[in-house]
Order: sequence, then structure tokens, then C-alpha cells
Amino acid sequence: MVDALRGIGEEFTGLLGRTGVTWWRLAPWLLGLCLLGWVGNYGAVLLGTELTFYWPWLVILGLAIGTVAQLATIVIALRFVMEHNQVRLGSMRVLPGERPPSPVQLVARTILPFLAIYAAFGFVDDYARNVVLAMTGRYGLGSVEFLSALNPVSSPQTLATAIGIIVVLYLLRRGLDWLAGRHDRIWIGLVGAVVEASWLLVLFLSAFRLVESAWLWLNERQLAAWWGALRDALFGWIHLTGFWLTAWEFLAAEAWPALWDMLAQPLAWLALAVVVAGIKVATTAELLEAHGEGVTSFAKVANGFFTGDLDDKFAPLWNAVRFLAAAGLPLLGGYVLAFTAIDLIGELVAAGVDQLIGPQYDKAAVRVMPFYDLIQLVLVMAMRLALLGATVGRVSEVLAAGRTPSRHRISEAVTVFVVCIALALSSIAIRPPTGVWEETAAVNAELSLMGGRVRVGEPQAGRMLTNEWGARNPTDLVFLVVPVSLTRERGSVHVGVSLRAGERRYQPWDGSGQLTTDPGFTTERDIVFELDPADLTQELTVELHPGASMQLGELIGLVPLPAPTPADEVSYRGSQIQWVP
Amino acid sequence: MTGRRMLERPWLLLGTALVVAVAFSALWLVRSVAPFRPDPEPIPQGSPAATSQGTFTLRGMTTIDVLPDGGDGTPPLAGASLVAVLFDYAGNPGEEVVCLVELLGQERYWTTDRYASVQDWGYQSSCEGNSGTVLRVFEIPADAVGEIRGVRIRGGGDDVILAGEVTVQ
Repeated sequence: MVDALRGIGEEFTGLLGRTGVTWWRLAPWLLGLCLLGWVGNYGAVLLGTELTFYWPWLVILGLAIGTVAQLATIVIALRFVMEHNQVRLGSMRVLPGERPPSPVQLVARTILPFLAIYAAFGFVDDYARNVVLAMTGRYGLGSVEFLSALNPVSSPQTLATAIGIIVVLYLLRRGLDWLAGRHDRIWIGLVGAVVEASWLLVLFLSAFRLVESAWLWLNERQLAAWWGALRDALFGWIHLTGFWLTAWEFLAAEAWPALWDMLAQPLAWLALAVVVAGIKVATTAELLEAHGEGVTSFAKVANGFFTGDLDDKFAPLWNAVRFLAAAGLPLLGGYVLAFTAIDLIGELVAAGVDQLIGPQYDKAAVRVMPFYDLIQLVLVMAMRLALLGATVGRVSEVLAAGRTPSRHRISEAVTVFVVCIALALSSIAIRPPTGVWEETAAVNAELSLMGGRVRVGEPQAGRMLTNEWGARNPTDLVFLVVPVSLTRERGSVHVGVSLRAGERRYQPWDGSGQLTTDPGFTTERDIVFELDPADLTQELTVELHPGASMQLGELIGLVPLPAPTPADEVSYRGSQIQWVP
Repeated sequence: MTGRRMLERPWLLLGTALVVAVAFSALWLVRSVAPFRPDPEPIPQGSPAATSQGTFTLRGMTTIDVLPDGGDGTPPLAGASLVAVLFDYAGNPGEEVVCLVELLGQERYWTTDRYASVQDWGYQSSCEGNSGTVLRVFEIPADAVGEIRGVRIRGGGDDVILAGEVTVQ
């Protein structure tokens, strides 16, 4: 285990060193290409909103063009970095009589894994969020209609449109493949990549909605009740409480997603980089030859149906994974560490820039949107590409040196896994909260939140709640009544109110913690919380969550409360009052 | 210059990328908030404004002292004024008319109207059926009365702005 740890450490420091040197030497190329990729990404958002004015489905075309533009810059940068790291591009190919793929062919070849990475790690969600935000700025309430127009389960016509688009794009793709076989033109490859990206995006989008609807439909059937009863019979005896419940919640909600992200994302990127390096050892049919003629024939038919995707994309990806596995676990462990370290550094810098820009709302939120991502898409991406190139270089060195596989692979695997778990846990603690800002004010002091002015008054506590009409509500716990007022001159801000008491968080007793007001007015409401009496002695803080129709970043207003002594009865206003300030 | 030659000159590539990024940033700042549909041309008070639903005509806007509420009169809040808005609508033959009304100020607007027993006066509180006359009452800060420039009527896919000034009584 000590040897494995030492191996991981050596690979980690070695890769970081190589990455640093590569980045320093190639900084103008990397930064320039990543800057163009950033333009491609946000150009796609702008193009998407422009095209949507004509037909909502055209937003997919905008996204596809942006994705291909960004992927093209990544592929070119990766090839460049690999050349610098003495990776012999195309050297891993053993198919006789084939030329090394051109950058355009590589873009076409890597569009599927690239989109898979984008979809799996939330980049497509980010893009969708950005488009909706940008569209709200230009369409207003019409952006809701836009979302509905793309939902295949919203109406039979939309479903038919989605299916029609998928079929047309599939046929177009086959036609372009046929054309590419006859003419060696760059534009055919590029159009093919855009068509394929559009096809995949429509497929992802529609499949997601259809699966979601099917799931909702299934949940309303008797089958769901049977499944629930079976689950209760199998696991109903498990009642986690206290420490074990907290530990389980932490594992399920924090640790496991962090570990998955930490392991899967770097390895997916590395597999993509290896594909860019030109790996292709066999077709699917050749790979399956050992399993008999029937399986081989099936592979050929399947490959034909998927327009050669199985051979062009899945086989290289599969071979990339095999290729990486042969490099040894310490190298992969060291690479995962280096990838995470670069990501963390990037996030720390990005968090600093976020703090400088601050939360934005209304039109300002749309205007600053691309600049929030500048660090991630340019600086971090450039460092990531340098690391990928350095790692593929190191992997090819190790394989060329013919290093014999370790005899302690299980021990190495356990060590790498333990290191990754430790890293995942520590990254949860280190990772800065991005996009969250806090403003603190005292009781009765005015707090400015997104154009609105909020004031929290003196709290009162009691065991019987009485409203202005004399209605009384007793409790075994304790009621805390907090007056909150909101003033705004213009804009559309509203404020959600909740209470933090030590480690616990309370929502308003009557469920209505949302405060809004008309322009030029102040509106005040008594917000009521029902608390465990023991929590009154904890640190009490009112949390104010302002929201606007267009908002970037989360701003939280915090008002620490003095702990009131509970009386037998506490009065509150059940309705809000309004005045002109 | 070809892409390959550009790649051979790193600082030229970075410089070009910077120029492209700056140009794109400028385009983004201008274009990303340009409204899809600019505000429609305001239609003067008394003239019918055509939409895909039919026509809307602003009869007038005036301040009132009390809110008519079942025979009682509710005065406005201290520092506020009540603005009554009266408009006619006539839908296309056989079609129901839908309308959301916003009272327009300078870069702000009011959507919340006060409940008033307007049916006692023969008016409707919202668009119902094919045609009619709607009376709505908005409560706004008194110092905002001078900035009111009309109402926007939404519904049926397109908006219309009926321009007018508030008559102060």
C-alpha cells in the first residue's frame, strides 16, 4: 500500500509539473483557443434565442453549432498539446491502409462522447438555464411558452414534431455519411457533426421528458403500490436515527455524488483525449469475432443502423478505456488527483471573481452571464487541456516502456479508491460555495436586497397565537412571530423568509413565507414559526431569500435575532399591511 | 490567412481570439437584452387599438377619492391615490376576449387592482364574453400619478398599449 501511495504521489507531482510546463509554453495557443471556445459556447446561447423567435425547436440547432464550435477548439488544442508532449498522433492505430483522421473527422468522431460528458456532468443543464434566462430577458413571460413548445408530452402535435425531427435528422445524417464517402470536403464533416449534435440533443431532450412522464404514469399505477410494499417488506425494518441517519444522508446526498463526479469526470475526459489522440484498434465486428459468426453479423448490422457510430465512436471509446487501464492504477490515481486539484484551484479563482461581480438581477443578470463563466471556460479549461495532453503523453511513455503489470493490482485498486474517497470528502469541505452571497443586518435595520429594502422587526414568542380577529391557536411547542417588511420602487423582487435556529431550519408555520409588494409601497407581514422550545436558546437567524424573474447568483440576507422570553400568549396580524413610505 | 498558419503564430492567435471575444462581448451586451417584440406603438385615448382578439379602446383614466365597495367608500392609503381606468373591448365574432391589464409608469408598472363593486355602475371588472366595458381601479403612490402614460393589455398572444393621461379630480 505504501508503494502504491508513493506511486500515486510521484505520478501526481510529475503530471502537475508537466502540466505546468506545457501550460506555460503553450499558454497563448491554449488561452486563445479556449477564448474562442467561450465565444462558441455563449454565441450558441445568443444564436439559440435569436433562432427561437422563428421556431422554438431551432434552439437545438443553436446549441449544436455552439457545441461543435467549442468541441473543435478543444480538439485542436488537445492535438496541439499532445504534439508538444511527443504523443505520436494516430500512432495507436493498427488498421492497415487508413489515413490518420483530420481534425474535422475527429470532431465528428468525438461529438457523441463530448455531448455525453456535457449531459452527464450538468453542462447541458447549464446551457438550458442560460438560454431560458436570456430568453426571459427578451421574451418576458413568453419563455414559458418556449419550454412548453419543446416538451413532447405537452401535446400530440409536439410529440409528432419531435419524432419527425428525429427521423429527418437521422436521414440527413445518413445522406451526409454517403456524401462524405464520395467527396472529401471539410464542410460535409462539419455539417455532419452539427446534424449529429442536433439529433442527439433532440433525442436526449425528448427521451428525458418521455421517461419522466412514463415514470409519473407508473407511480400512479397499482404496480407502484406493490413495489412500495415489497420495498417495505425488504427494507422497512431499517430505521436509521441520530448519527446513523445523519451519516446516511451525508453519504447519499454529499459523499457519493462527490466521489462519482471526482472519478467519472476526469476519466471521461481522459478517454475523450485518447480518442482525439487517434486510438482505434478494431471494429466492433472484429472485437466480437471471438464470440462467433452470428454475433459478428449482428454487430455489422447494428453498426450499419447506427450509421457507423459503433465503429466510429463506441469502439474507440472502449479501446481508450482499455488503453488507459493498461497504464496502471497509480498513474490513473495521480491523474485524478491532479484533475481535482486543477478544478479546485479554478473554483477558488472563479469564486473570487463571482464575489467581485456579485449577484445580479433583471437585465443586468443577462448582461453579465457570460462573464461568470470566463474563468471556468478559459483558464480552467486551458489547464485541463494541458493536463490531458501531459497525461496521454505519460500513458504512451509508460506503455512504450513496456512496464509490466503490477502483481498487487487489488491492493493498488483499494489504495486508489481510498485516496479518492479521502479526496472527495476533503473537497466537500474545501470547495468554495459558488454563486452565494450573504448580507447581514441587525434587527430594525434596513437591508438592501436586489433593489428591494427589507426590514426585520423585534421577534416575540408565546405558546398561544392570537390574531387580530381573536382566533387562538395553542401549541405544545412555541410560536415565534417576526414582523418583516419589504419596500421597492421598481423591479420585480420578492422575498422568501425562513428561520435558522442552531442546526435546524424552520419554514413559516402557515406555509406562506413569500413577501412581495407593489412599486412605491411598503408591505409588512408577521411571519410565524413554530419552534422546539429548546431552539429558542440557540442562535436564531432570519434568512431572507430575494428572488426576481431574472436572477444570477443567490443572495441571502441574514438577520440575527435576540432570543425572546416566551409569554403565555403572542399576538400577530394574519393579513399584511401596506403603506406608502 | 489559413487556420494552420494562424496556429503557427501563437500571439497572433491569442490576439485574434481577444478581438473576437471583445467583439462578441459588445454584441452580447447590446443584443442579449434587446426585446423580442419592442413595445407596440401606443394608441391614443379614444382610438380603437386592433389586436388578434379584436379591438380595445381606452375611454379615460381618472383619480377617484374613494373606492366603491358595496355602497361604502374606502379611501386610499395615506400618500396613495386611486386611479380608475375605463376601456371598451370588442372581440372577433364568436370569440371570447381575454385581458390582463397593467398600469404603466416610467420604467415600472402596477398589476394589482383593487376590488371594487363596479357592476353597480354597469361595468365589468374584467374581460368576459365577446364585448363590454371594463372599469379597473389601481392604487398607486400619489407622486406616481403624473408619470402614468397608459395601460398595457395582454392576452390572446399580442399586447397593445393604450396611451392616456390621468385626469386628476
